[in-house]
Amino acid sequence: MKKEEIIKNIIKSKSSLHSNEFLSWVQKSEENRKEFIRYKNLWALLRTGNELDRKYVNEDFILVKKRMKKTGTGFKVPELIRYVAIIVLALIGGYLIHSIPNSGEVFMNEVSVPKGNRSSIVLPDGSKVWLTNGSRLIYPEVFNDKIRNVKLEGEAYFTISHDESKPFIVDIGGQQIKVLGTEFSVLAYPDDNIVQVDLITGKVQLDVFEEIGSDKYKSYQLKPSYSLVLDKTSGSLKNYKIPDSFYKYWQQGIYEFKNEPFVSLAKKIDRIYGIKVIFEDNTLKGCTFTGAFFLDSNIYTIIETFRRASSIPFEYTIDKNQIYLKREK
Amino acid sequence: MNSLSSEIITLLNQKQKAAFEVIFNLYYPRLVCFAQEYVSFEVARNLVQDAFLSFWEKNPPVISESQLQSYLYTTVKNSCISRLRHEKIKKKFIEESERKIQKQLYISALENLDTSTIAFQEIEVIIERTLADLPPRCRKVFILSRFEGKKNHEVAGELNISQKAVEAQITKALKIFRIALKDFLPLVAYLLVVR
Repeated sequence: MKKEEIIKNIIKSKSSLHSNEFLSWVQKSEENRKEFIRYKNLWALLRTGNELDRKYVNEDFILVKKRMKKTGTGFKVPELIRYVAIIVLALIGGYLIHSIPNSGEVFMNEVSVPKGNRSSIVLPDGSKVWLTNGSRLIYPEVFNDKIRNVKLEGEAYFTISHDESKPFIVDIGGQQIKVLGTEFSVLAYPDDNIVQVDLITGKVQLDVFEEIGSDKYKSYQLKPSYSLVLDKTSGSLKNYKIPDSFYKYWQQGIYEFKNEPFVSLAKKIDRIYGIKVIFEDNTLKGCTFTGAFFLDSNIYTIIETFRRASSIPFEYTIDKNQIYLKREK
Repeated sequence: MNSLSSEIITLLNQKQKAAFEVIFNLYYPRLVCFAQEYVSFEVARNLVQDAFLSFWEKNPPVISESQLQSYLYTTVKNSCISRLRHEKIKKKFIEESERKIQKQLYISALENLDTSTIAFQEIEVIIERTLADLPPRCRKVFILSRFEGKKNHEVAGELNISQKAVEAQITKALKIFRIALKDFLPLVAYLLVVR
């Protein structure tokens, strides 16, 4: 039998049963047997595991964690802070709320979700908001006015209950989003140069003010399953179809990226994991990566994955909430 | 290029869960696919989970990645052997003879499998050395295409060369690898082409 044929048989079979003919060929001589064993083992050793569905890895890790005795030293400081924060927050309901007395009778609530955490809140009108990665939402205890007004810094996913008599408005600094009844998400960090609105269903409108405090604005309407991205400095707008990765992000906590430069991923790492990435070598900043983060992975897993994928080899050290990257000699 | 950072090895020796998670994510898929060559998928998953647990509980000192690989693969290998032996005895009368022959074959294959640190170092060294010996452009193309999984046109775009040139460089690299890994051939050649 030709070598190629032995290999084909091995690759096909896994642990399922080989054909009768093949087995009898292997059994025929000691030489055949040795040849088979050699290829079988080598093939098994060289498996990269890439074809194993990621969901098994995640599920099985949870099983293993449950069985682990609590003998380890847990997590290093950055993780520790994160986990303590999560536990504390879980005890009080998953997020921080403190009430700020308003000039009128109505109290304002402020909700903030720590980095690396996701949480949902139900607003007084029954609308639901998911907040993530260090985002803040300010809303009144009761919606008394003719409009339902909330303020957002960061990222959130809204499911707004329909009420035509009371439009819902999300204030995001220099812009606002007017809503009837709908599902959409907003990305609006004050320190980012862009604002993004993704509309799933319904109808929303983005109003861009000429300047902060002014009442002159331009309005843009969105079609369902489209995103609108506003460049805050140039004022330019881009409109495109929402990619599948969007749903993965909000539903499964997976952030997918394609050819994204390291420097921009570093910003995401800071937001998601609360850890600052410091480039001690500028050439690393421009490296691009394609892949995914799992929002609940730990920072070591993330950075090791980057290290393995990087075309420029680098080393890192983690100190408190900072991670230093430098080129490997 | 594929070795663990010293940071992770230090943390592993301090029995830090975070480092354990890194190892799990890197090696769980590989080990399950390895074991699945000899036992069923469900059994493979269970065996590999047990191997990680025993690694965690015993907390053996780790000095290098090849030594860690050797530890994990040896544990999984031994569990596969005992599992196959156990199945052979349990199903003595009900199993068809081909299945029995195949199991015996897999047992002797595993018994012949070298999972020592040296064996892992060897393959690693050959790949690393070959990679280092490739001409720079060829190496760059090969890494982007085979290790980072980029498509030919993406590699072409990134390096600002034509798609034809990318293909030519990949063919060149494969030829060099074929020669370097001749003892492992033709399996590796097959692997490199198929991926």
